[in-house]
Amino acid sequence: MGSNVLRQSAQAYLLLVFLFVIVVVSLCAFIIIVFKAAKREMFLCAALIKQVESTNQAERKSITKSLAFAAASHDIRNGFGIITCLINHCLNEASPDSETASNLQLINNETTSLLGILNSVLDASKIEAGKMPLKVEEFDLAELLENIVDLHYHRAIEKGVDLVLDPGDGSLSTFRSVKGDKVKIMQIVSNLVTNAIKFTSEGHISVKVSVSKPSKDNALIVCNRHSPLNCLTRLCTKQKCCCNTLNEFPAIQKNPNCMEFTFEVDDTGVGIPKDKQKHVFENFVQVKETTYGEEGYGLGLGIVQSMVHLMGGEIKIVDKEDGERGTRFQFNIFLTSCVPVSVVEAEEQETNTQNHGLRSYLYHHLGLPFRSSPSRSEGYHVVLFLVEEKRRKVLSRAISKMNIKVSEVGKINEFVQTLDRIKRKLDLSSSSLEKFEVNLNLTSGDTNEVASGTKDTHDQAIPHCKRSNSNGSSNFIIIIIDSQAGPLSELSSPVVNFKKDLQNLSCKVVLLQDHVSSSSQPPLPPFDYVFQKPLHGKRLYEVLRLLSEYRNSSIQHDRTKTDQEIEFQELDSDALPKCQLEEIVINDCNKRSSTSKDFKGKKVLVVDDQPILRMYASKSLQKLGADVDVSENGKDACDKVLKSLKDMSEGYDDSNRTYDFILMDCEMPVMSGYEATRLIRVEEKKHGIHIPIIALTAHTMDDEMKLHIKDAGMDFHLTKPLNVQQLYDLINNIQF
Amino acid sequence: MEVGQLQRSFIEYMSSLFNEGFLDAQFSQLQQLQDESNPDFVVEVVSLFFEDSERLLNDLTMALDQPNVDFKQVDAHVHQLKGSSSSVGAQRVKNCCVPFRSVCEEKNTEACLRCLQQIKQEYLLVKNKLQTLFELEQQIVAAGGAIPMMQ
Repeated sequence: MGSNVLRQSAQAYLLLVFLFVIVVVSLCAFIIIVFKAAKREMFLCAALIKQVESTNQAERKSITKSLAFAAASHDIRNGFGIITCLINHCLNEASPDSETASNLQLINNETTSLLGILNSVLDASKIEAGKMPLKVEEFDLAELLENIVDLHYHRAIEKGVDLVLDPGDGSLSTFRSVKGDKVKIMQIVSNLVTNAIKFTSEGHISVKVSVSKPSKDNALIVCNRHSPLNCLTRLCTKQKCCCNTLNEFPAIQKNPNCMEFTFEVDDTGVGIPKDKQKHVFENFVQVKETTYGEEGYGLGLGIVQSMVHLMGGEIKIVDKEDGERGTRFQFNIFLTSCVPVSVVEAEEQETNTQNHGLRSYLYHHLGLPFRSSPSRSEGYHVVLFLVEEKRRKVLSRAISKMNIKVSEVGKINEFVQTLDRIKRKLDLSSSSLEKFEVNLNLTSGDTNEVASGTKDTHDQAIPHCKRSNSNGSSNFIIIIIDSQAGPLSELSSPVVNFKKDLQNLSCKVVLLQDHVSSSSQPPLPPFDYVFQKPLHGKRLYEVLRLLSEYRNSSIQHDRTKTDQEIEFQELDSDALPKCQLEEIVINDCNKRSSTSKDFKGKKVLVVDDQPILRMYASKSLQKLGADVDVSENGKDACDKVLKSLKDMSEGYDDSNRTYDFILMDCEMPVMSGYEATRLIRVEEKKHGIHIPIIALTAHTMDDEMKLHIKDAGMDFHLTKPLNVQQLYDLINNIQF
Repeated sequence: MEVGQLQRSFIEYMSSLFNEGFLDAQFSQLQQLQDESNPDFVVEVVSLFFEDSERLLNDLTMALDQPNVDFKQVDAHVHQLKGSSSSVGAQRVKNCCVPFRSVCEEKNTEACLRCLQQIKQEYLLVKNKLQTLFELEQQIVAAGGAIPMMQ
């Protein structure tokens, strides 16, 4: 029995040793693992610290870089200011029609565009830093688009591409007056158009805007923000949604006058490959394979996207129909319409017409009452002879929307045919003129059915009698001819033939030319008017206004006019009769006469520590008739103002007035402009008046400065040295 | 010399001053303010500018001569000089002030002294030019002519 115990104890002993060894081994393994983990952690920590260090350094670098850039840009802007000043100086000296003047204007434009590039780079960094506010003001969106298209038109034409402003469904003309950030919208559209021009070498580029009520879909986006699924996906993909823009969303949506404006820029260029479409909106990315010899900074679309987001919208590339090449950019933004939406809707229901745009435009801008839309039977007819197809289609659609009959012509032989056709119809209708009046009532049902197409279809040689009457005699015809369509002689001969056979019909011929200078000779007959290309917006309305002129004048007048026109054609082309030359002239009457005493009787206080500036400002104001008082520093100014306030309240007559406004320099010894303003404001409260105080400073007007100035209580600001014109405008704005 | 010739050389001289960048649009603004009630306005303002600038340049020289340069003071002086030169239209002087201010912020005495040298040069140049201009004006008036207005 003892040996059993011994054996078993040996086994037990072995087991014990074995156990011990395992414990030791596992302990060792544990220690080693922990040690390794600790080492790894230390390594990671060190790497993290290094990483944080380098990020901080990079941030610091970028901050100093942007500071240096801001300082440099201040000076660059200064330089530009100097250049612009000198150019304006030269412009004043040069005769307005000379080549020098136009060259100087081009230099001016280049300077502006250079400044634009500078600003866009600044913008990019501002947007990244999240400091880009929306500047809301009232403006005319249709006019803005016209200006943009006009600006880029010639560059596009040089490349052989037509830039067309498509009125679309006409909704833009109804809602043209809006509140929004004009500059940003201009930047966005200009950017898209310049890109389109860059990447298109033939065909056309079209810009279209349509307006609609904001759809419910967008509202859903706002709700989704808080859904758990969305949160989860956000977490997983580590995406930061633009919370700022979504916060603004509900605010915009709640406004009943808020409308959704959808912009489309469509081109027939090289297009963007599908896989690259997402990337183009990233900053500094440009699709390289297709850019042959084109430069760019790749900044544009990134900034464009950020700006569109700011205004609550989205920008994307839309697929075009099969077989069409090119790209179509589409973005939508939300703007407040100045015309209350309910009013527009009510009016539209009442008159049941979409002619709003033309009518409101004519009424507001040209002062013409266009009483009601011309009904078909009145017989307006426009013949459009344009070379470019897209433009032709777009214009004919737009004009036919205004209930005016349109014939499209692309080539000269078609032109001759169309004119012949019209003449034949006239002959028929004139012979059955008596029947016309009677038939009018009977055939009113037919008018809708016949005159629904926009294209003038090929009629039979002798159209159905009833049909021709219901078409109405085309009493007034405008023929619009593109000067590029062919040599002038070839264009004018069919027109001359056409006009010869006019009877109870009036016809006006409009020639579209590339450049129209103010001193050009009046056009040779048979052309009555010359308009500058491109024909859209304002110019289009001017042309159509010619139709309304017909309406207002009686038929007899037209008869005599036509007789005269026929007479003139027989004259020698050298002896030019009084041909009317209509052009759009934009008057810039901003100059005031220097001898006007517009500030007569105003009491002004000029505060500046520098004697030269004091003298300059006071002299300028005295020249305008003001009564000027000067102060050297803030303390003196304060005393003067306080004294005048006291005198005013104690005086029994009105002769003791206080100052009408104060020009205050910001940095002065003894007491600064800010301090003085604060004290003056406190004193003013007791008397219940508010003197406009204008801050004069030599610093650039960035947001910090503006806040500073507003804090102190100043109302406006101007930069030194004093620009009298600016002061004048500012004061006038205060008055009214 | 007869009046017409004097007037022509006056206009030429004036244009050259503008073309070479000694004067800018601000100066022409000053000229427009001068009229019969203030026939010597431009001369007065410019003389004020000369006095002011000379004083400032002296102050600057003294300030930069100190062993411990007070850069704030220097900056303030340059700011004033910039202001007065820009309101008179002395463009080149004003343009010199701009780099001066940045070297001031860097507290670089060497560079400041260089800038000061440059400003002094520009100032003397423009002073010379303006004085010549005024002499021409006086000659025209003495010869019985009217001082031609630059539009």
